Amino acid sequence: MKHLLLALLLLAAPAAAQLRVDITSGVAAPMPIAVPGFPTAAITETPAGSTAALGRQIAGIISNNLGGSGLFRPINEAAFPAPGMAQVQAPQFTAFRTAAAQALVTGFVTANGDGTLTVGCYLYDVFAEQELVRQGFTVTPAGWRRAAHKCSDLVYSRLTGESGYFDSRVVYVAETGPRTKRIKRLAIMDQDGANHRYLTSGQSLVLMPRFSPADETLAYMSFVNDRPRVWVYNISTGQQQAVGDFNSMTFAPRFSPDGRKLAFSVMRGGNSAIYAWDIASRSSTQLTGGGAIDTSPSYSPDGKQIVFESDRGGSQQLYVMNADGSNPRRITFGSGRAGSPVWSPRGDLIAFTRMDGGKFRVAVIRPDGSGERLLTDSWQDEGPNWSPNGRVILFSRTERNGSTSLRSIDLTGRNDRRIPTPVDASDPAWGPLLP
Amino acid sequence: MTEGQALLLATGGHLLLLAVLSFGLIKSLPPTPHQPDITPIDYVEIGPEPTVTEAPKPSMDAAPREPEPPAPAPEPVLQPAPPEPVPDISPQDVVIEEPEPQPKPKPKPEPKKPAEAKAPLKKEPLKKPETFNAGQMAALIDKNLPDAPARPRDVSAFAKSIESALPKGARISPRQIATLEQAIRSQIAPCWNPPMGGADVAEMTVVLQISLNRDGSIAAPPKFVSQTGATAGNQAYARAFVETAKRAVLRCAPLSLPADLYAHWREFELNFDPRLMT
Repeated sequence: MKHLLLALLLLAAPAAAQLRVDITSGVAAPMPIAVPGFPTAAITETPAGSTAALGRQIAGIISNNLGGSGLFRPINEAAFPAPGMAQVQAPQFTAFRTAAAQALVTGFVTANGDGTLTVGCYLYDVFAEQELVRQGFTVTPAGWRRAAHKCSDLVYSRLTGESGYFDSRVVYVAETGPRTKRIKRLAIMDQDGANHRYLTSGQSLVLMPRFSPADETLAYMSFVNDRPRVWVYNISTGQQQAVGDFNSMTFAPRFSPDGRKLAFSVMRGGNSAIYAWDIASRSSTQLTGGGAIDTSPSYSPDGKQIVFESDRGGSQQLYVMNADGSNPRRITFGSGRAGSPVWSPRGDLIAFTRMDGGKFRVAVIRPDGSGERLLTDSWQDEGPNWSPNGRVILFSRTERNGSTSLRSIDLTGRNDRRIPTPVDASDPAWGPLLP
Repeated sequence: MTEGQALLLATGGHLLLLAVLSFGLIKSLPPTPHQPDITPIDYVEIGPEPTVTEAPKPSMDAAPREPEPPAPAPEPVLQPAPPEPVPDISPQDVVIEEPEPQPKPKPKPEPKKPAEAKAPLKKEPLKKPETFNAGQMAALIDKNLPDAPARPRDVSAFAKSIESALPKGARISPRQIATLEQAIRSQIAPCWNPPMGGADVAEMTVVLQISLNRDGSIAAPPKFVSQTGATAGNQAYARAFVETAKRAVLRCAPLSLPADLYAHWREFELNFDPRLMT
């Protein structure tokens, strides 16, 4: 009997041998990452500066991008030795581990014979001592910043598993002048504030610029020629056309995910109806009845649904309907009003402005109306807009003194940052990731 | 009229007023029907699309694709190699033994084995986030078991022979297991930065197989065992998720665990599950 017991005991042993430990918590902290200046094999003068200086600037841009995402913490360069060309492909991992870096971004800058630049970009896992990804980018000297953004996107997407958003641009309304005679111009800039320029002169009021998710096309509302209406503007060709031929004001445009259609509102007496407009055929379809104020339509990323705001139930709330206008259902019920919804390109969330208790705050909610979360808590935060990867929300903040600025916040509600603009800024719209 | 309608009317009114006020200004401008007031823009300003070169210049192909993982101290040297099926006793078995009367006040804890000659990875452990030491651990286990003998006092010749074949510390009580688990958890969790905010994080977990040397250093790179929540659509995210788990283990090594229970933590599995965090 005893023998049997022991035998059973021994048989049972291997099954129980393996210990399994559940790790159900971690630390939501940014990943420490080292981005030393990119070396160059031969210092060459280029129209954008010497390759050595560019190598340092490129690392600086990558560092700024990654740090700005809130998911990474760039380590001070003083903490590790600057790698030379030989170390680009054989990094001194020990030194970077000592500096507490978990990942290393390095690379090089080379001036090519044809006047272009090639920027090499390498990402290493410092603890596993493994190369994770590498990629080269050839650019003209004038476009050197894009190489840094592309490298940032490469690193971001490899380490997070989500697509990046650094090589993209933002359009917004630049505001100058006294409040009684405010001049509003469309301005465009890189996502990090560089390469800023104005698209309109300021002679006509412009509002609500929106980027097409598919290409370099903008839609916006302009009061040009005394007719407030929506225009579509192709940045690359300079071509522009008014949307539809409505006798009344059109406003609040937003592109469909494929960029072929535009949904917007048309004023009807004291109310407004939502229309979809096919850009190529210039034909429009009415989607909502117009018995209420229906506005701010935004397509789901699959193009099958539209979220919009309406006061049909008595107060301004969010509704989701099919893209043909059928089956509208209300999704916000909390206290206060809800407006300017925008569907995440990832599809899982809708960002909007929650108006309650005299405050405007940026919030997110699931398309089925569950899981509402307030992301910001300031006096007037409004006009949310998603980064191309659906991870970051851009919005405008108005201070009590009237000044306005662009801000961004992670969808987890962390990392509330100011986006630098040369003048007061409102109504931002994030463009797609550049090809 | 609702508040929203009023707001929209007011907004519309203001916009129209602004338009009317701007009218004079606009009229004085030369009419440019199609490109009213857009400054010319050259799309080229963005810069041409970066050419994705096959491989950046300096002798990429000559470079080793990736360095070998850091050479671990060879396992056989450190490992007294206990006979495979013997070392472990399932908790249920121990429960049977526990009620046995206890002749001596308490069993002498196994003398802690001196740490094996350290020839570990060429890495210096970063400051460990949690304070943990094996001595305290042993004391803790000891305290937990004032009456439970670590080994049965039953002394049939057969049992004795089995017992002598068991490596020291092979027997382990549920409490010891729980304490050991807690020791591992408390050292790994502070090193883990799960990727937060990902669209699929709510469903994702990963199990890794961990092999440790007697000094707590990594004997072999953490091995992927299984994963939940990975789909065809989230491969990149699933991979990044697994890497955060592996990185947590590598970052935290060497672990500080009771040497006398080495047979139980020489190899174990870690199940990384951030669902409670989101």
